[in-house]
Amino acid sequence: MAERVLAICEGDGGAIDRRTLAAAALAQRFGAESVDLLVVGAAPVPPGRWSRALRIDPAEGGALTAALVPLVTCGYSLMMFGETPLLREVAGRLAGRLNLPLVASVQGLRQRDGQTVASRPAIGGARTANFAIEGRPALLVVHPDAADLVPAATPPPAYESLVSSPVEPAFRLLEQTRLGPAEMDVTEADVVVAGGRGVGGRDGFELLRDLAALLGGSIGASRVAVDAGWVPYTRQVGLTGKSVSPRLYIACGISGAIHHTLGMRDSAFIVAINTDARAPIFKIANVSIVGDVREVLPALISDLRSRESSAERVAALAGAAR
Amino acid sequence: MNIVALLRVVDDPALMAGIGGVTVRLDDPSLVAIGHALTLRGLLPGATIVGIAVGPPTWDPALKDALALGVDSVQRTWAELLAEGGVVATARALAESLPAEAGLIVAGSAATDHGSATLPAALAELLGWPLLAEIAALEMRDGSLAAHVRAGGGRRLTYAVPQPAVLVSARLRPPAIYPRVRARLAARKTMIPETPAVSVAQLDGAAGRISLLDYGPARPSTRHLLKPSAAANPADRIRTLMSGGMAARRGETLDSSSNSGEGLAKQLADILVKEGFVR
Repeated sequence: MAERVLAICEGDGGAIDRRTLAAAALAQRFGAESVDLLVVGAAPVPPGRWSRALRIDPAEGGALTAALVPLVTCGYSLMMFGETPLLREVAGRLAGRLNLPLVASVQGLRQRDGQTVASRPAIGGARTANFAIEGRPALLVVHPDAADLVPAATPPPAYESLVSSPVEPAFRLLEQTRLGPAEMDVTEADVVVAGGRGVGGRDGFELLRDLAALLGGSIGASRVAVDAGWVPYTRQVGLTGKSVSPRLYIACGISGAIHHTLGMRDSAFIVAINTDARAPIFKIANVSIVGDVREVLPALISDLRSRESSAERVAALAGAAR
Repeated sequence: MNIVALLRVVDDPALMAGIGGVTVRLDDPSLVAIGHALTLRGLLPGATIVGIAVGPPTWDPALKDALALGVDSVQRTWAELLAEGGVVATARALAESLPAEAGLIVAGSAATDHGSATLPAALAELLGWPLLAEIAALEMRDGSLAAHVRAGGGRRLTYAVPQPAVLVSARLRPPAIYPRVRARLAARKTMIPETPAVSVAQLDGAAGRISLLDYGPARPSTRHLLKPSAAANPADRIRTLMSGGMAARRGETLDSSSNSGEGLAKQLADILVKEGFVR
């Protein structure tokens, strides 16, 4: 069957949210007649063979659903959503509103005996369930590990903007706060400053806390630091701790044992600071600093603070001049 | 006012040694939903909690645990067609079986729809109720209900919650609530009523367009741990596999042998500014 597919991803300002790229990748791999890309939010068009690239400003789930309803009637046979809380909500809303078939956590999509078959984990991950999708259009929410995007040689098309009409929010915003490094969960932070044996103790983690506060991030740790009682277990990153994929991961005094790196290797940008030039962490770091954490961090914190205060001074002077 | 908690039961082979050979239990998101529902009942005087599950009669022993944990009543809806896991069909079955005076529906991060986490949104659309997702905590503020919502980058947004509404929890650890022995014994004697399932003909419209073909083997988990990028060339893919997922990035090295701590820090700060991490 010739399918027209719309892949829907989310942008976080600088890039496409990594979790949602799988929707675009699976759409391409499926071999549809045409694949259009819709990005919710701001991000450059990812490399790939797209017939069209559409963009829409991020909005609350209800408003975004209303904006996507007209697309359902545009002849798409499959609409493939990346797996983020917002896109899952929109997929569920569209299915409920328009009575469309929906399969979530899709890990594979293929043609079998003339049928389009989607597979997803079942029975707690012990099996894979295969579903024949008979109704069209159908909605699929794609698991982040379903496929990797293959870059195309052809340049991607330019964005066409979709306009969403404003919808009165159903919930009134009372307050907005930002959590400090100690309260912010390590899995939800954009920046993680993590420490290991090389940090030297609780006092060393105070430095990490100061740096995380300056960068608006959270604190992570290797198992060694947690076992030593320097930080609680909730901060442990790695195979026996939490998996993180922040935009920036600063590994301080962490050697980079496989148990740790499996929990953080998906970070977009990794900075590693270690005295041992042969530490395995340097293999996966974007910036490797062979040096002592206790020398580099105080200087880095003081440098960032002086930049911050000079930026504030410039802003104050600009305000006074106006 | 009724608070409805959406419940889901999963098989847990680790329970084989349990009393009575019961191998099913409430899943973690359902326990989180119960935790939020208990909080709401404490905040809203006169409210009662009704647990609703869409599942077969084999779920009943686990649903009785919900009663023991403090849920006031539990009901179950079922039709064979729902076994295929159509989200809209499940949402319809739930919408049909909602108790009268339901004011708030609370769901865990992956609710009663085979863990897809899309069901609360479909249910909200069918009911025409507003939906608030990623809820981390609930409280009373100035006499009205408020919800703390997780936003990206460690931000917390606090919203006033109108009624009716569908509330979906963030991915949280289950609350540390345990049933008392007396409550558990009382719950065991309680029958879980099966509410009349919506007619299969009515469900057909939504569920019939997805049909379960068969089950296959699970995807190997090592694929997730050690998966090389599909975009990489064969040599890089092999190197990724051989290195246990630690393929090298083309990084920049700053060495202390030619730099003081301050010099290294300045270079790093420049890189962080250039990459847009510091404004």
